[in-house]
Amino acid sequence: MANIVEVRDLSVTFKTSEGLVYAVSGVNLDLAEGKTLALIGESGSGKSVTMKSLMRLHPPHKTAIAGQITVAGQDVLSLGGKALGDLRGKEIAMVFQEPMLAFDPVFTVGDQIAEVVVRHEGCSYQAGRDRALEMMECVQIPSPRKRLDAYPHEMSGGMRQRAMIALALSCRPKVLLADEPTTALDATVQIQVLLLLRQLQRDLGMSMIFVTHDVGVAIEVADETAVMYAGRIIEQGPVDTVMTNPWHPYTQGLLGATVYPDMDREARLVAIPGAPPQLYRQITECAFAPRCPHAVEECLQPLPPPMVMGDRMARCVRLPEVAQLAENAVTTPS
Amino acid sequence: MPVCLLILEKIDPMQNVTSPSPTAPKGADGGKLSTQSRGYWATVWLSLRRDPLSIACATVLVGLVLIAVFAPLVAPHSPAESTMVNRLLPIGSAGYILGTDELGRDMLTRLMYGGRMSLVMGILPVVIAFGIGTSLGLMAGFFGGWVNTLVMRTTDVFFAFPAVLLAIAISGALGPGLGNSMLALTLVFIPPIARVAESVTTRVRMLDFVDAARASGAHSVTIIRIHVVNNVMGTVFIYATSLVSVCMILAAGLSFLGLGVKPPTPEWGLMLNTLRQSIYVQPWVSVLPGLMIFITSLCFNLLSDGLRGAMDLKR
Repeated sequence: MANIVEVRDLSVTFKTSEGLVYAVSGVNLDLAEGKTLALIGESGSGKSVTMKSLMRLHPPHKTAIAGQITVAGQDVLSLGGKALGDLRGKEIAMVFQEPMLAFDPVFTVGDQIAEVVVRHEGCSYQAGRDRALEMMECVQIPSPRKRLDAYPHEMSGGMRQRAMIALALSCRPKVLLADEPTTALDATVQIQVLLLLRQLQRDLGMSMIFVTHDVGVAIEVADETAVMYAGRIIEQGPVDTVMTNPWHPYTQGLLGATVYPDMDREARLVAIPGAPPQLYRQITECAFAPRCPHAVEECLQPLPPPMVMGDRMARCVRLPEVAQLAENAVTTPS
Repeated sequence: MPVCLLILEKIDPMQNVTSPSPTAPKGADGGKLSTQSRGYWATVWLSLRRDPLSIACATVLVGLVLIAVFAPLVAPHSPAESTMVNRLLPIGSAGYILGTDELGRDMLTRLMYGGRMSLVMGILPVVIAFGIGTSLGLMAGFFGGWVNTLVMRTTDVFFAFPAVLLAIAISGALGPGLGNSMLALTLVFIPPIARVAESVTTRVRMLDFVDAARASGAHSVTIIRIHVVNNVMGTVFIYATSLVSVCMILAAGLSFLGLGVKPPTPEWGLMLNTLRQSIYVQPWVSVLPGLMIFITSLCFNLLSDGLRGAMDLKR
């Protein structure tokens, strides 16, 4: 199947007052049409930065992007002004983390959706509003006709996030980027929005990249997963195999620190010791080594190329044995 | 339109699940409902209408403007007509309801005519400064970097002087006259407006919805023109309305010092100045121009306060 998104060797560097920050280094991603990829990682691991790079949303004079990004057959990094605007919203759209802030407070929600439709399809304002109404129904907002004329602050968080999804989908993008779309919502609403997103993704046949730090959410929505740590993808593969049999010690640690249903009440979650590294220098060795329980001398050497086995990939020097260790650890108690 | 139908078809299976009644946006009654929503200013107006104080102030101001505009029609005398016999008559004299000034001219007439100059000098510089200052502030705030440095450091130079002193200095350098004093006042008000606009723009620019607009394919110009301007305008507009009263007082001050309007043109500040010497003879007549300045300033201030509330949609 054709890949709708292809990212090759993506590196993103920010110029800050304290020097360069190597936010993302050497990321490769492929997303097939109609598939969902979950990008997992803790805060500051480069998930959102990768997502924003796909649409080139970083402030240009403070950011250096290297590598190649192809979305729907277009080379995103070489597109200029008008063409980039045509791509954003039409081919690739984004749902933001904070539905509170992602709407302009001085316009009604309906107007904001209509604006996007008019921009991309050159139709009349009225046609844009009709589309906005369809989209609001589509994302199951109650009494959509009334909500069309509501200001963002007049809606609840969950409803606003639904409206955000309606806005993102209003021009039927081929790729939907969802940047932690459920993080700012409360638990019951989270599930609803999640299910809605999954259903829409299937019904509309789009591809979706879903950023999350919640392993459970990733299992729920995704086909593929990529785990990020310190600006690198350290493990990648089909979500069910990666989550049941993680190879990389970081993924293992992540799963060990996750609550799952039917968990023994007495069981303690295992936290990964230490904290993620600062990204003020280019880390060539394994960034996880200082926190890794399996780290050896070799881990401080420059990282070898990713180890690919079948449909899975992981970046760890001690890969076969470490994966084996984890499997034993999982199987022994049960 | 074909594209819209297309999407409706594509997502139809879902719609049947969620809403059993199919949408008919083209229906006879349905079409009406989804037309243009109530605009921002209409919403502000609705909210303002419920505030009696703002309405009272607006009424007073509209009344003052109307009287000033139609002064030749409503004034009982001519503003220049003076009778030395009737100098400094008290309030309530026959034929001169508000008394006469030191040259025997009818106070009521002169206050009516004076409103023309005073209102123009109070409002026009602020309006011009609002246009220029907001544009500068928006540019500085949105583009940041060296544009910001250039604009904001230049305006900072103006902040080195107190507003009154600056107005007097510019006016004095350019020479007395209506045009020059208006120019001076405009220059005085550009920096503070630009600074407010810049700070609000910088804040707005960082908000997610600017990114969201960009992610929806909006061009920088569109983002500034629609999203940034509309979010910045409210704050700057309110600030500018509050400056009108300051401007009126400054304008009156310039005239008072002989830098603005020249006699015998009636203007509240100038009238206050000339009547100053008569304050022990006819104190109540002498304070009348000051009272007018006070009422107008107060109304502008209270109105801008009301606007502040009305323009905050979240209230």
